Amino acid sequence: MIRNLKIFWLYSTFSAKTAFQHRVGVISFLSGKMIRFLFSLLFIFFLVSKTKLFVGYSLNQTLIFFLTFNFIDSAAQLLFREVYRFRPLVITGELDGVLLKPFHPFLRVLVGGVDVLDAITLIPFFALLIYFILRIPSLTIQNILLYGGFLINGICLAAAFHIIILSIGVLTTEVDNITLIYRDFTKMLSLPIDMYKEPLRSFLMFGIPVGIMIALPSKLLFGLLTPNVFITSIIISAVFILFSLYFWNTALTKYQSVGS
Amino acid sequence: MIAIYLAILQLFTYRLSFILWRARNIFNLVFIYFLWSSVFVNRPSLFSYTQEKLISYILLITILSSLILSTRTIDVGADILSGDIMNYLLKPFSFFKLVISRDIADKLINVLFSITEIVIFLVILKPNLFIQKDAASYFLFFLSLLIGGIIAFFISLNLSFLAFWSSEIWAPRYMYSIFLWFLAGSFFPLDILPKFIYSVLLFTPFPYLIFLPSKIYLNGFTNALFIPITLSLVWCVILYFLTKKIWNEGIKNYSAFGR
Repeated sequence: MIRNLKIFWLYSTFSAKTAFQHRVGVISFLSGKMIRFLFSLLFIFFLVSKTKLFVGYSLNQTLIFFLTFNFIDSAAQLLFREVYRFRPLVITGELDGVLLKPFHPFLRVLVGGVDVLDAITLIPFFALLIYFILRIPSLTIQNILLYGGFLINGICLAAAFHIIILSIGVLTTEVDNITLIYRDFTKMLSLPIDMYKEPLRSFLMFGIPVGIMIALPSKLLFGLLTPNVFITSIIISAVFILFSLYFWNTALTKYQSVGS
Repeated sequence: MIAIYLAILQLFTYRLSFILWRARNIFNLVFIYFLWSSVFVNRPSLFSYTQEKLISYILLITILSSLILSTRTIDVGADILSGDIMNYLLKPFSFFKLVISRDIADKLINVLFSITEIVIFLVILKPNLFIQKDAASYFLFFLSLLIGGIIAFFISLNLSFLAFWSSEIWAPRYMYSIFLWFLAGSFFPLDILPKFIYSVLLFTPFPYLIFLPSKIYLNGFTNALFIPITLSLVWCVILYFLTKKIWNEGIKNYSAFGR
């Protein structure tokens, strides 16, 4: 475990050094992210202030949905940014070298490129999230704990999604578009899932399951979930994570080292 | 014609990539459609838009984005950085005619697919739509569409020309895409914003890309549109001369190592 943490730390240090070599890029991407976030935040403020409620949620609740999405999305990008750089490894055959190393390949291809820029953006997201959560009138410790637990579950599901993307990358060398589609699906949950009609809503909640990943924590915080949905979500999360690991192992058996 | 043929060949070479990219546009449309549909539940109108007009606006900007914002001028930046632009400049045809042809081909393909997607969308969700019946409005609509296309072309080309001076060309384009998303009207009609912000936005080129043509289609020509149309023409002229100047300065300094 300590050995793995040391390798993780080493890769993260390299990644941070590489990122800060391109200073103009760093400043632009960071400003871009914050501008996009602020624009979206202002739009929600503007829209829900006029409509008073958005699909039954108050402005405060809608903002919690939005900030929860941003928090999980940024945490996933912070941890799994290396997935975005996976394709060249497959098409050049460099993945062979990764697989031959005496540590788990996920340390390199999944969490080997921690994005420090997302660490910077996580701070305001988290601060705002706490601010708006504390403004909920009927807040209970139980709901906060459930929210925190399902935030961690959301990050585990994000890991599972990224493992599936890596597996598809091994099988087809297609990574970039699949990653963007995953991000589009998650973006669809930046506002309350209740805005979608059935069967799309259930599909997003349990089918993919980005709903469990992003919308569920906020719903638990507001005390809006039935025990049935709660238990189903836990089962689906576990099955999805196990499936991603199974898929990765299966994909590796089909890997032909195309580039080497 | 050759550029169009090559663009189609390229499309069929990278089929999966193209299908996935189109799928992304559908997800975006679904998101915006349900966002605005849910806002209009139990409410006949909001921000001076009826549900019918706002849904029409969303579908219209989806098609217009495919037409106006799809571009191959991004390749110019990559060609400058790699030195491949030298191959084009040495050939016995105009480089800019090639860039424009590639752009038109790309737009045609994207619009074709976008219309197909919208038709499927309409068949599935059957929303009520607003149909403009005034012929003069259609004339102005197409004129503003042309202006929007020219403005988008020049801005994107100038972003690629940054490669003459710096290898960091993706970061400014990323910023541009963010501004496009919010300030061009791809997410919501700009005139729902507070009047002061809307007036300030009219002095930037963004509203003329897809918002103004959509607005003309939905509202027809009104006297209030005279200033925006004039400003869009002014932006066209400014960007033309700016592009010319940047190209001349850039090509003067340019050197491609090893070529």
